[in-house]
Formats: sequence, structure tokens, C-alpha cells
Amino acid sequence: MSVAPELRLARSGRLALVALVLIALGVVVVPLLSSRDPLLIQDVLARRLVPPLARDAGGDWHLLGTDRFGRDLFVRMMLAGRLSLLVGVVGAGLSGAVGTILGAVAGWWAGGALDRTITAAADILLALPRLVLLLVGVALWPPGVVTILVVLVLTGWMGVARLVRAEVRTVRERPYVPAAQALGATQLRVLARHVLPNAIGPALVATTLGVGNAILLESGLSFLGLGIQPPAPSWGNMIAGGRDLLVVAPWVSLAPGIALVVTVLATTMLGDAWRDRLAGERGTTVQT
Amino acid sequence: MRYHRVRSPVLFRAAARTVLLYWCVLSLTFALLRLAPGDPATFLLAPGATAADAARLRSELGLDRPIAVQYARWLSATLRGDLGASFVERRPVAATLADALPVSLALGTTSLLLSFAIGITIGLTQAARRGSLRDRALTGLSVILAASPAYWLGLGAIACFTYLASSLSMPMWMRLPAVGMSTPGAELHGLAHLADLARHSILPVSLLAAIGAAGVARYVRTSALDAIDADWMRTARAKGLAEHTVLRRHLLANLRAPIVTLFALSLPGTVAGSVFVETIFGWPGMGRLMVTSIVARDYPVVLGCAAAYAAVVIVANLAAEWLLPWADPRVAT
Repeated sequence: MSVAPELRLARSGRLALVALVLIALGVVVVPLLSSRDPLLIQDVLARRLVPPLARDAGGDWHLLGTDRFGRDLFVRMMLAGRLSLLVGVVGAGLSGAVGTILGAVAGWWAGGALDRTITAAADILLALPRLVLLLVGVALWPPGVVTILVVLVLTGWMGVARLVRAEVRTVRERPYVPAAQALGATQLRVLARHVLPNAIGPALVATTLGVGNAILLESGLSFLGLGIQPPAPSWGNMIAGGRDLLVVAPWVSLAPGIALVVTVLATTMLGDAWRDRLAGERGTTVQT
Repeated sequence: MRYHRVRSPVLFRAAARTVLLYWCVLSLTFALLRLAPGDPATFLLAPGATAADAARLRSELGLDRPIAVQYARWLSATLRGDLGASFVERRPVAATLADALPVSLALGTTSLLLSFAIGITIGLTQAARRGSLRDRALTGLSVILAASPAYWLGLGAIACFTYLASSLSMPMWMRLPAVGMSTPGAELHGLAHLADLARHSILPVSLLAAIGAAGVARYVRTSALDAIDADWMRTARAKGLAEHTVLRRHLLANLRAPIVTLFALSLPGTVAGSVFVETIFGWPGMGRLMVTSIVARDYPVVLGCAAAYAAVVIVANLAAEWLLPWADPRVAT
């Protein structure tokens, strides 16, 4: 299949896509192949804090070493990646969807009561730093993936909503909109079938960039002890688990951190490349 | 004079909007706290406490009243400037905030100013030689910094400059303290105290500044590249101006508006960074206070922190709005 050169992602974007696919494969497959339960603690004294690429007293080889309870870090890291990718993709995706719907409604009926309500809600939520809202939400409700996702979506839709609102207001003035209306299409149909597809580009890019942000926020909350609770692994709580081992076993914090940075980096590069492509199509810069 | 007559209703409406927004934010925080499941009294009582103890504590803290009554009491007290007393320490919230706020403000403003000074310089030099090896290396570095969690970088800095430096017996000035704002137990005054504070600030401030500078540099580079091929840039060069004058005088003047906007937008980010940096380095600032008070369900302190944060964000946005016409005279007020 040949693609017009300007429609292809930049090389960094394609590289990022490959990296993300590999990470996704890794987090699904590696824990399945591992023979030992990554949550099980046994024979701590023989297995704990084995350095990377070494064997423990039981003869098992560990790619990234073990943590203080003798659990294999590589398998735990991959298991944690499942959660992080899930929270990142679902959290950013749902925020993007909510933001798109609210932004489209606000932009289509701009100036109306719905628009004023949505804009006011966005203003209120943007007047507190997102982390403060996240901390309040996550710390007070029972900790877990669902709480994190709900709080991420409730505090993350405003940016996309603003983008879509502005785009919809521009697209609404295009000649094909009255043309569709003249053909008898209902308002909702015109909005969903004619306006949104032409207005959604920047929102998709912003949502892609939001994946990395959501992963970082989840890991931060877990690092503070407010997100994913041990023994379930998350990159954030794994880094926290190595916090007092910096001298004797720096790899415990180092490995999950690198996984986190590589994943977030890949989503950012993908989002950037996509934005550049969109800008190339439109011939203007695209703000996200 | 006529100018003022025209402007005053606009200003009045802006002020009214700001006050309304502030009230909504505080009410939202209040609602979030009170709607949460769980009873703060159970967090405060000793393990052996009886149900009667819990009931007494609840009535003492006013938590046994209907939510509407609690809200009305809190609102009227807040309007009178009374932020209440901490549930845990029984100390006025205003006093707790007065201790924590200067720490965060000092940390935040120092690192924010540094990050803008460094970020603007780096972004401009990148744009001036776009596509060069240096440009690409700096872009890569800033993207990686933006993708790294502050707390992880902080742990790395501690591992290098505190533990590794002392185990390799590096010179004393390279071994930096990892925790706190001052050397514990040391009775230092005047210059010695300042020097001690400065030594303790190096790691947290440079960490926040580096992360901030990475973001600023990326933003300035993009904005500068939009302008660098403009006709007025060619004119400035054709006049025979030196390249650095063109960049500093003509390009930078045209970047003033986006930079002012970015400055206002960066303040919430600085807050987020400071939550983790204060936690890692054990600085008794707002970020740490926020986390500890939320975990302890110390509602008055959480509300006080939220009030302070919202005030910072709202004032920053207003300031950006007022500064924008100065930064870019084409923007009509």
C-alpha cells in the first residue's frame, strides 16, 4: 500500500508506534509466560535484592533482578505496565470522548444555556491545579483503578472540550453545513456526520498526548501511596518501593522508571508526529 | 476620563466573575470533601476510643450538623477571613498556611524564573540553528525531561549527588543534602544560615527548574520558528543588524505575548511539580501539607490549601490578561 508522503507520520512517530506496540505485546505476554506468581512472596532471604542479570540462591535467573521481597522485577514491571497502559489509554480516551461531546454541544449551540454551563464548569475545574483535584478525589474515595479512572476523566475533559468547541464554531460556517440542512438532515445528524468529522483532528491529537499525561499522573498518585495499592504492582508504587533502597539496590527504582519514561516518551512522540501531519494537511499550525 | 467611564463596567464585571469563580471552586472542594465516604472522626480517634468518644468529637468539630448548616457556617467564617482550625493539630489553618506558603512560593518562584531564563535562551538558540545537531540534541533532552516524573528524577538526583558522591568520596561541595531545608541541629545565623539554605535548595530548585526549562524551551522554539522567516526579520537583517540583536530585539519582542501566556499556564504545573519535589526532599511546603492533610482527612487544612492554590491560579490568569496588551499592543483590551 502506498501512502502519499505528506500523509505518512514522521520517522519519529512511526518509531514511537512500533515501540508502543512492542510494549503492549510485552505487558500482555511476559506475565503469561512467567512460571512464578509475581505477587507471591516466598523464600525472601534467598531471593531478595538480586542484582540484574544474576541468579538468586535458588538458581533462578533474573533479567532485572529482584525487589526486597524476592519477586522478579521484570515480570512485575510488565504486569504494572498492563495497569499503566490501561489507565493511560482508557483514562485519556474517555476524557477525550467526554470532552468531544461536551465541546461539540457547546460549539454547535454557542451562546446558549448549555454552552454557558459547560464553559463555566470548565472554568471552575481549570481554576484548581489538576493534581489538587486528583489528590482530593483519589484520597477520599476507596483506592483502585476505577476511582483513578473516574477522577482522571472528571478532571481531564476540559482541554479537549475547548479545542472541539472552537473547531465546531469554525466548521459550522462552512457551506456544506447549510447544504446538509437544506437536504433535511436533523441538527444532530449534521453535527455528528458533517461537522464533527471535520472538527475532531486536534482533539484526537490532544487525546493521544493525554495518554502519556494520564500515565504520569497515575504513577504519581501511586508513588504517593494514593493510587494502585501494593501488592498489585504499578510503576509508581514500584518506584516508591525502591525509595529507601537507593544505596543498596538502585535497580529497584531505576527499572520501572525507565519503563515509565519510555512509554510516556513514545506516546508524546506519536502525538507530536500526528500533530505535525495534521498541520501539514491543513497548511497551518495546530494548537493542542 | 471618558476612557475610564467606558472601562469601569467591564472591569466590574471581570471582578464579579472572578469572585464568583473563586466561590464556585471553594464550594466544589467543600462538596467533594463532604460527599466522600468515610468519617474523618474515625481517622482522628485513638484505636481504643468508644462510640461516645466519636460522637463527642464529631459534635466538637461540628461534623454532626446537616451538611447545609456546615456549609453555611464555613462560608460565613471564610467570608470573615476565618479559615477555621486544623482537625489534627487544633491550630488555626491560617497559621499553618503562613508557615507552608512562603516555602512553596520561594521554591516555586525561584525555579519558575530560572526555568524561563534558561528555557527562553535555549529555545532561541535552537530556533536560530534549526535542524543542527545541537538543536536536535536539545529537543531530545527536553522531550525526555518532559516525559520523566519529577519524583523519579528527584530520587536519581539524590542517588547521584548524595549517596554516590559520598561513597566515591567526592569533594565536599559536590555532596548535596537530600532532605530538609537546613542542617538539623545546627544553630546557624545570618550568612551561614543562608548558605546552608542555599546548599539545601540546590537539588530541589535545579530539578524543578530543569523540568520547567525543558517545557519553556520547546514552546519558545516552536513559537520562534513560526516567526523566524517573517518579513520583518529579513528587514532587520537587511539593515545590517547583528544576528544576536535580531534575535534579542526583534524576535523576542514578538514572542512576548506567548511567553506571558505560558507563564500564567505554568503556575499550576509548578504546583504539581512541587507536590512531588517537596515530598521527595522533605520540604515543609504547601504540596506536602496538601498531601498529608488529605490523607488525614483534615478538612479545614485541605480547604485552606485549595483556597490558596485557586487564588494563585486565578490571579495568574488575571495578570496574564492584563499583561497581554502590554506584551502585544495589537491585542485590544
